[in-house]
Amino acid sequence: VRFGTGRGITVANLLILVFLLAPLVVVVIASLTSAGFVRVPPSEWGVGAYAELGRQQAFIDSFYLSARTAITVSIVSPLFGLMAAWGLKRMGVTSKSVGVLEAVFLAPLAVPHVILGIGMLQGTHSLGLRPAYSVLVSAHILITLPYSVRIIGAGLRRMDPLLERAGQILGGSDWEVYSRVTLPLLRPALIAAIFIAGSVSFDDVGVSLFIADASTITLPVRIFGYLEYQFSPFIAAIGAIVILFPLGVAMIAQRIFGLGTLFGLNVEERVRRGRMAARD
Amino acid sequence: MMLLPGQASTSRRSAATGLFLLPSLIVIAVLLVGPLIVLFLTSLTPELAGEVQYRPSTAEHYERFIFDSYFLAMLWKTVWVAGLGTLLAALIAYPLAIGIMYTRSGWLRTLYLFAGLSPLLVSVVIRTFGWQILLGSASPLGSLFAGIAGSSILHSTPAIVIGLTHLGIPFVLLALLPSMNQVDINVLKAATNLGARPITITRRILTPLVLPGLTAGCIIAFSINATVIVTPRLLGGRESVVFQGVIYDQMLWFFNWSFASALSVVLLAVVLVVTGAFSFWMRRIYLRPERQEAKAASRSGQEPRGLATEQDDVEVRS
Repeated sequence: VRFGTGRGITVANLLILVFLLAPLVVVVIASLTSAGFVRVPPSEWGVGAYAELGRQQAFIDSFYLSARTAITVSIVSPLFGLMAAWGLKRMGVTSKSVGVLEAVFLAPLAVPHVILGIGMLQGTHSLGLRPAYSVLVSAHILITLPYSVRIIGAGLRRMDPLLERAGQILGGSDWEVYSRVTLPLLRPALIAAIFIAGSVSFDDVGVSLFIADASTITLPVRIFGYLEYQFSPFIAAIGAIVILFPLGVAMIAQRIFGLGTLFGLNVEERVRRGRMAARD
Repeated sequence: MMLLPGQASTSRRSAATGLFLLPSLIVIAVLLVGPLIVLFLTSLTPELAGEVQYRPSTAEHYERFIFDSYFLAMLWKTVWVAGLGTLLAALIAYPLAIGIMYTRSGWLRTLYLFAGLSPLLVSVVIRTFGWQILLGSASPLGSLFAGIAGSSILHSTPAIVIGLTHLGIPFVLLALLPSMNQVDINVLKAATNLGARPITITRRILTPLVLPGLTAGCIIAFSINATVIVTPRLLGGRESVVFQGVIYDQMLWFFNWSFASALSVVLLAVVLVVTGAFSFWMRRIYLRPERQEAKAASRSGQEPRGLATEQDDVEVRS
């Protein structure tokens, strides 16, 4: 038996699958109720929880705020990430400062969100300002930047350098090569970066929790505040929506360019290569 | 003469390169370095409920932390709970990564990858809500636990550990997969052909090769587990509080911003020390055989043969 294909590991992995997906599945099941309390399986199947959600104006407002923030961030962060990754590439692999700069761009990942959130709240106050939408967007750009740089950087590295060179030899200017060769080839990485930046922004609670003012309570922060003291099926309805939407997008991503690409991995690529090698 | 990449006029190129890097560098300087400095300065300032003034003049907040055994006990609890959650996450992510890399079935691979990474696309609040339902009296599982243990498992330390394990798995996986991707599959095939059992292959061949990735994954998972607020708050409730919860209360309920800052600095320092020590220890383990091999090789005048490198990757590709 080939390594990693035995029955033991398959059974173990199926159990792990159950563990990983159980909390998500349970939320979706709990949302399909008309009763006023959370129960799994529901004592009374229905869509009452979704109707109740429509009456929760505060949650709807928070949803719009989160969506607006996520859309802004998913444009700005990949743009900055693209510029940074492109700048790093221009510096060339031989430059010593590339390693340092790469570490700098990944640094926001290494600093815990509590620390960032508290520091930003105090920083905002020390400038005599109050937490506002602009602070929220800036904070989210910071925490999504490492993902953007990493995903787009991986895309640039995976690209065949001969294609850009061919463009130059055929007489393209720097800009022409960039816009007609590099960018189109980067499309999967760019889409992945936009999706991940938007997703990280929409889901963030660690930083947003601290910089939330009365007018900037994002959806996860509002849900967290509610769940600390109460429990209600309409929360499950929100949960079901925000679980199924990104999972749907992830499934589409899987079909088009492989789920691994979304996270800057190239697992599927290797498998594909391996299969081709086996055929030869 | 045609200019090829790397041959363009250097000064113009580097100026343009600097411009490309500028936006991201500004974001990091203003939004990362700035708040960290503010946080540190605040921790040295007398308490001014909600106000911020920078006259670093006191270490009273650090003294309060050190001399009150409650805070030290909470800190210790955070370290072991986060550590246990990380260990369990690594033990679960490892076989899953093996499944993703080596299973022959395409749809199983997709399913594993999907289950392993898709939790990252759902807010931690919702994932934790799922555990609240599962472990609480609202589900048959929670009722079963309550029946066996005598009290509900929700709002207890084991509930926090379960939540943190679930939280950590995708992060371990993300660091582990690229590492495993570098391993030459022929090495594993050779071991199988020579009659090694899967458990032996895992222990003697695969683990040493992927140890750097596994270490990185554990460090990320631990840093998150030890600092996340939502998961321990919702699963531990008032009955089981951890250090992050103390910081959260000091910050947003008591408005003791300076004290909260001091506790944050302590937490950051502890996370850095624990992950640094772990990294150092693991490095000693996975560099040891390689170093000996290199030494032996240099004695016999041969090229040292290290871990799987890019070279192997190229061979697979061609």
